[in-house]
Amino acid sequence: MSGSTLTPERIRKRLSRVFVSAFPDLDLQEAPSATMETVQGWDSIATLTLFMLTEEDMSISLGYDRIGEIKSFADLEALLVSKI
Amino acid sequence: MTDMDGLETMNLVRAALGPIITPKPVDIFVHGTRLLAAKHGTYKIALAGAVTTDLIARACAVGAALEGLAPVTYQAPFGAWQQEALDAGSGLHKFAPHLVVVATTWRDWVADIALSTPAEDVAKILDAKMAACRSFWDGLRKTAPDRRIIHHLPTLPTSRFSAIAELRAPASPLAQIHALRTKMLEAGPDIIFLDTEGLAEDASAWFAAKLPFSQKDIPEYCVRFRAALRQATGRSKKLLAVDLDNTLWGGVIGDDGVDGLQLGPDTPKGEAFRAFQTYIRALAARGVVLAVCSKNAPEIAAAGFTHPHAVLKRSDFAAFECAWTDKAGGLRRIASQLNLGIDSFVFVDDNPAECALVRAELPEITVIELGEDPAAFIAKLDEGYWFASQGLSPEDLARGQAYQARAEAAAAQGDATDLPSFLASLDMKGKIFRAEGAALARIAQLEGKTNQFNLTTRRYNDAAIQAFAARPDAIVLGATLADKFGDHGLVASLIGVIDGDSLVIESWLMSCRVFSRTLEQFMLRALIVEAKALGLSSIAGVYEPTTKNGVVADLYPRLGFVEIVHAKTWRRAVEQPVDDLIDLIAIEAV
Repeated sequence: MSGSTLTPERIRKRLSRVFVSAFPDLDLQEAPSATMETVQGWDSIATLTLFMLTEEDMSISLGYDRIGEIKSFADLEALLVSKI
Repeated sequence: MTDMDGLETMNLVRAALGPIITPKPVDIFVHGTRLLAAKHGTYKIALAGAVTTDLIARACAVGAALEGLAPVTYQAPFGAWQQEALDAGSGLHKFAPHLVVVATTWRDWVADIALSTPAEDVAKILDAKMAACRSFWDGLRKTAPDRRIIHHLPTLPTSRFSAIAELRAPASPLAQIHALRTKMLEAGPDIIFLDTEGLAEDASAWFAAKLPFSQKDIPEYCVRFRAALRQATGRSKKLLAVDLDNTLWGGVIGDDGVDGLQLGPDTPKGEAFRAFQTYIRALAARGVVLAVCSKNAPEIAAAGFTHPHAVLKRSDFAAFECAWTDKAGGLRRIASQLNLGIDSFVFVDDNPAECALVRAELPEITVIELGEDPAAFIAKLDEGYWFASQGLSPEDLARGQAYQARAEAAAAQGDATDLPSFLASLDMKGKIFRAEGAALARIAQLEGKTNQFNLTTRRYNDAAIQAFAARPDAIVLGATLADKFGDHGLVASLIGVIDGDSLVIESWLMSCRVFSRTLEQFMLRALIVEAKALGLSSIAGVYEPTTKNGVVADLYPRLGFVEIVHAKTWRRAVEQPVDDLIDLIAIEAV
């Protein structure tokens, strides 16, 4: 899929699905408000997993440069948008 | 996520992943996280290394769950692996793990030395590293001698610099790791090695998170860990049961006849079936026992092995179950015929329905559904490292022949009118001796693998057995048996320790191949002679029941021992006449 067809809504939807696959207890609607504080089990390994799943799902390379800054859905969404 | 019980979580993970051999990365993350958070696991795994162990811990937890163990894990502080081993008061020792996973990489082992360092000096440096490694392993066991250790065999460094020249320069990192891998295998006969070669390094994951390999390879790691865990816990697979039609050859022998089968160079499919047979024969050469379990008429099925391009022969199979009844029944009959635990079976079949039936009926069996493309069969069977082993003993290499001999002996038993005359007709010769050298290594292997004739199931490792052999107050006996059909090699062992005026049997093992041969009577007679020579007055033994050693529950009373502690401890005076210990084994001349 080419990046240009991805609307912000679609990005959010797909990223929500990524979050739910990594955190099955998370509700799809609640995913966009998820943060490291609110999601049980979200540690640095979870962030790595989210990166890998996002890269696979979006066919994109995020790199690990900014991995330490990602502490919420919104952070990852912003990073993703900047890479598309 | 709520707090869940370890066993409950293990069952949930097993149900969720079902027969999947290589789980997806996300499954390892999700289920691994659940398992790490679960309470009251029963199998303790410690991880130590100079890498981030969080992801590996999840893979180990998932692997343990898939092997039926409810894991609880401890991760040693990053980089403190040596200290954690050597300090008996460390978190690792306090955790008292059953198993330690040592996750080091080539970075921990390469010596920073000049490329010009001569080969002799490099060898000395590497030997010193190995000595340190040996004391590290011994340190991990100082609070529990039977603790299992799975050590990552390091990958080769990825930078090639001057390529081939690196291999020719003994001081290069590449040459050092090549040499160290060999030295580690030599220095750790009691260590279970997990080869990390082939797991791709991901430089950014290393720099950002100290992951020893790419996250994408965590599934492959999980599969390799499961294989290592099976070896560490005496759950290695021993037998491969195969279907015939569309598994060993293309076509249905009952319909197509031998000439109509696809096997051999005429077609790509025929080539693939022949390659699969060649692979199976290679497994047999490594000690894997083969059996047929097929819905066929036996004589028609056997004809398939007369095909001009058949690589396997009818005589390669220790058991040949062909019937029109269900395959689960056939597999059960194979287990009882060969005295093997059914959980040591791997069953392969092309037919999904048959696979599903066997899975439902016998969940303890590993079932591989081969599908329709014979070119993929080898990869599907190879994927799970089911028959992985740390070394091949002479017994492994001769096992195929021994099972053939056993099948012939069983056929002969059909002819004999009663058991004693049958046993007498076998012309058995046995030898009992104080074990040393290679025999001790073989006994350690028996300790790891023997589940049925195993009175105490203490799983003494190589180092522990050597320690017994070196003690003046202990004896380690080995027993060999041969009969007219072949030499079975070292098939039984016994470890005794002097306690007061009694010789206490710490461990008594026998390979299932030689059950019901009067070898136990033969061994006990020899043991009584030993005990007398040591000036002792009795022999004592303990039976510690497991789910698998019911076959020896009555061994001590059967051998004339008197009960001391109800159904547990037994004693026999050495002065008691030995007329009750009837064996049909001649003492082999040394």
